[in-house]
Amino acid sequence: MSLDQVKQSKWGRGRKVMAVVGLAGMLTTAAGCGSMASGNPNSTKKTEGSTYPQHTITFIVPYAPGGDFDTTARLLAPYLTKYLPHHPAVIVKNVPGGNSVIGDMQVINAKPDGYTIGYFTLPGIALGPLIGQGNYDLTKVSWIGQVFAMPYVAAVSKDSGLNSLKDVQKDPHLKVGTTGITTTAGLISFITLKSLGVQNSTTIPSGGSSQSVLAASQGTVDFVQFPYPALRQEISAGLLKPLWVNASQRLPGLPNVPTIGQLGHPELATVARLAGVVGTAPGVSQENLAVLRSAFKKAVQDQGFVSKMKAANESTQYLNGQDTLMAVQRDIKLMRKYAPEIKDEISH
Amino acid sequence: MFAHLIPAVGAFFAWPAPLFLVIGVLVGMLFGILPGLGGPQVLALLTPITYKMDHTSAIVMMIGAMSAIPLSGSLTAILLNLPGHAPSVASSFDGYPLTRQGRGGYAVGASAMSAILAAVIGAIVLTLILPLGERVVLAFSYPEFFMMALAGLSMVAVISQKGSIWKGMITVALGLMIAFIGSDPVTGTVRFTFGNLYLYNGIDIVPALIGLFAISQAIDMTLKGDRLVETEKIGNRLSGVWAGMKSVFQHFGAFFRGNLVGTLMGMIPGVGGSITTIIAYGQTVQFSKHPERYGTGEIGGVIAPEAANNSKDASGFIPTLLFGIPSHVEMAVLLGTLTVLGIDPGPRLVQTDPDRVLTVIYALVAGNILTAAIVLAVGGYLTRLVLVPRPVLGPIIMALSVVGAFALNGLIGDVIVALVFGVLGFIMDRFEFPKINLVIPLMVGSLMETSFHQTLLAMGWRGFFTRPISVGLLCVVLIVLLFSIRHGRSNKQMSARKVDTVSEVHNID
Repeated sequence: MSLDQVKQSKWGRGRKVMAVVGLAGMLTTAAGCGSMASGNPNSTKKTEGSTYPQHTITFIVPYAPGGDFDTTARLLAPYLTKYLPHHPAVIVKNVPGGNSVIGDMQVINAKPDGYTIGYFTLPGIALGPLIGQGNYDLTKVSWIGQVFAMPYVAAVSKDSGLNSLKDVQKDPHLKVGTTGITTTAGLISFITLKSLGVQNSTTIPSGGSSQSVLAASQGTVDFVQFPYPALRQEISAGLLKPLWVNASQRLPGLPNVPTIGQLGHPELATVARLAGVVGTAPGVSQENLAVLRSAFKKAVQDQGFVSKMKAANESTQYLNGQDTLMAVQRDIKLMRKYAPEIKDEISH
Repeated sequence: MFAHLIPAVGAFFAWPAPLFLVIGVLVGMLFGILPGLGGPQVLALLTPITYKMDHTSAIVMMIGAMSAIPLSGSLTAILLNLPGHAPSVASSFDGYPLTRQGRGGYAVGASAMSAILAAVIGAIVLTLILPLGERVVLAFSYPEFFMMALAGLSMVAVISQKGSIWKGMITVALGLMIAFIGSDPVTGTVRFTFGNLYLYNGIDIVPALIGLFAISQAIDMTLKGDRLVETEKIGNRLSGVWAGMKSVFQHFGAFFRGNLVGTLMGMIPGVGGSITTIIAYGQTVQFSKHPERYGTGEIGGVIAPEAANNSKDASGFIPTLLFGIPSHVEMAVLLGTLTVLGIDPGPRLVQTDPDRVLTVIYALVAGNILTAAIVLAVGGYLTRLVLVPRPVLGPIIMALSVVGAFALNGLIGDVIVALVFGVLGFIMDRFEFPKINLVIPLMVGSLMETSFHQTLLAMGWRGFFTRPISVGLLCVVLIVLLFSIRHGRSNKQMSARKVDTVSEVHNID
């Protein structure tokens, strides 16, 4: 055990005790409708600004426990505590359902006091209002920043006989495994296949990325596109063959796999990614938002956080609040282009 | 891996890992007992703590918490008809009638013994087949999923032999309709939601179960008054538990088949624990010489689902560790933690990191045994819960249920679902509609629909009939249905042969 580890585990012991004590507290919070967070409205108003944040901040993850968003939120929360003034507890709350809309609506409709922040999924969340699933305006959200943006990797089953983008485009019976069309993975699959001019394909959706990846490993479907962490095991085991990366640069883990730009479709590089961005309710005061943004930036760029993310096979890609808003606007514009076709697809 | 079997034991018992095992098990039991809260919640809550721990302790604590869930969930299912987590619902079918006869200790003893044995056997099986597991996981695709869901649904015919066939059919149809609420998993079309966002993802099985079983129960208790059991009916608390433990060996067939079902179905990602225990229960009824006794307090009806409940978690590690594909929600959370702790799932994990794989397996066994020991130690006392007057117990169960339904996701919609299903369950009890017939379609409906669509899209209708495993499963379903029809007829001819309690038949002291 190195000196570093000894130090870590010592510090860890203190944290463990805290966490066990905190367990009871969290249970009450979960059961008590988060009434702690609402506090006294008058006192909050008076002391806003210099003394913010005074109490627990709730970090809403709009999915069930497990998966990229839950894992990264739980990794990030202690670092937010570390860099926020007064070091408030940051508690991750899973609010699954409605294709992440239920949880995100809780963030959007929260009191604009900066005590409720939440994860949003780009580009998936931009589609909802355009096809009548949810009524919200993402451009009004107070954006704090981006935690990660994972490019989608296109891969084929080892028995598919496909070896290149050309093969995929020419295949007369391409079977595509993906998740529902209104999810980010489903949308990216739809949009990329459209832009690449793949016409003779059958899409076989499933409830989650792991099921689609399994289907491709079995050879039940030919072609999948998911973020690299979801495919990594199967690629290294030789069950799946990576064909290209939807990014402007090659991935360190896949140095021999070309980017979609190198194959002649650079427009897909910025679109086909899974981005985790964090925002808080519209109308949060500029002072509080500035506090959140600065702590968020330090947390996401903290070396400890970055190495933990690496250990969890995740990656970080920080964007500030302003750039996040621009990314949101770009995604909305793109979704507007495809919304009628997607609506059509759903109503079949 | 086998060369590492012994050295890994030493690492496993190195201080402070055993301490964290105990902590994990205790926290896990708390979550298992509370309705609504279960594996995913406890693991998500423990995850941040593990980031600062040494790896062995962290793995041991997480696995300990996970292994405590099935048995502690069944404890409340048996004693209060309040399934602490969804797969435990099958244990209440016969466990709760036993409790009402004053023989809760007997049922608890049987379930704890099943858990211990299932964990040990599960660990051995896991160690032996991990190196070969890849083929099993790759062999099951959409048609096989559909057939398994169909097998689950066919259990309706086996389990509910009593009462009006029309009431049974109406309930199944209602269950399927409720299962189809929400967005179509394949096309994305939204159905039966009335534009309500909460309903987009359909009705969650956990609040529905809480309502159907616990809340309807609480309403009934509050209205009826009096105690569940008279004091003199409760025997010596320890001998009951002991007899229950022995009963697992007397009904070893039920245990063995339950274990087999759990091990096989646990390996297949996406099938779900609840169907597994229901099928385990159904096949025990099927193989029994006295299927009519089931539902009235037959111990085999506790042993089989408990064996499946505990063995499915061991075999669930096969797809999780080999492919990084979680077999169920708990595993999804656990997988996230394991990767952070440096366990990199993949087909070669067994060769590259046998020590840590063994730590996982040992922790699973030790966690199960510890949980069972605690349950056995307190089980005898807990059976006295039934002595609490019903008007007191009713509101307590009601409060626990509502809190549990809310704690699941923090959504008020879940509470409303639980309350609606509570009233529905109460009405169904009053008018003798079988509740199991509503639960099974709710559990399998979505899997059935999705895998049916997926098979048609990926392979066409031939997919169902050209794959050997799919055809095999279809044959099993047909045989089950044929037998049930024959059995139903002979039952009618026999007309009314009534068995009141199992004690009349078994004479167990």
